[in-house]
Amino acid sequence: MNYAAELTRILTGLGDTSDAVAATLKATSIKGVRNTVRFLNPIVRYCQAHLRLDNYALDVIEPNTLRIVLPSDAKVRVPLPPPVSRFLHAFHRGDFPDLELPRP
Amino acid sequence: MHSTVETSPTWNCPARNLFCLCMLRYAVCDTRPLMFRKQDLPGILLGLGNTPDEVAATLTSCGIQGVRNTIRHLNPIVRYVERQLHVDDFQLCIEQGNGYSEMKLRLGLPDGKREKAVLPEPVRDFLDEFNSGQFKELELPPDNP
Repeated sequence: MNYAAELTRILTGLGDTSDAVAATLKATSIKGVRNTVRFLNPIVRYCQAHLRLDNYALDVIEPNTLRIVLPSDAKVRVPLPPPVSRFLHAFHRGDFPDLELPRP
Repeated sequence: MHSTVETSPTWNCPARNLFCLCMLRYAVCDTRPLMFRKQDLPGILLGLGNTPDEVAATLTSCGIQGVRNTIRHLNPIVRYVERQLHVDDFQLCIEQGNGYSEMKLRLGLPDGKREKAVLPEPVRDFLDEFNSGQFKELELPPDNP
């Protein structure tokens, strides 16, 4: 599998604007927690739902970058498309409260 | 003659002031960390249902699908638990253990701690049936993962 191409395909499918990204997440019932970078991050959760791969780790620790770490410890980085980056900044700021997971 | 301001003894109580300060901080910003509690894992698994069909119904209602004979991100039970846990960094894996009845869900945390929970019988039976293809509606389509 070409991981970079697959992740880029998934990310670009989210939408052309930050509002379109939010709408896609809403349509797929994906929510997240502000200021998180792994499982609780809404973009990571969306990619996890769409990746057909059993063993990996995804994060957005590096600015504007999605990183996948494979079992071999190989790391593949793909830049977040600008609408996704803008969405994440707005999400972390609290602009999409309807996409926030309620606290347990 | 000098004026005095009468203050309530309780207002000057350091413990009360500390309590008020804590409550104010809590009200302004809920900063509780997203912690994993040891009891979360068995509770989540038990909540899936009492029969394999109930487990399947729970997954369906959550829109969870998976791939047969997988043990991590593509496993439907792992996917369900991933959604339920309010933790940002962890690893989940189904372990076979010593025989069918010892099938466990293993959770690894970034601090190196590991938690294991034995899969309840309905969940084990569900996985057995799912892996043999009895819940096709819960399988991720090959062309649209």
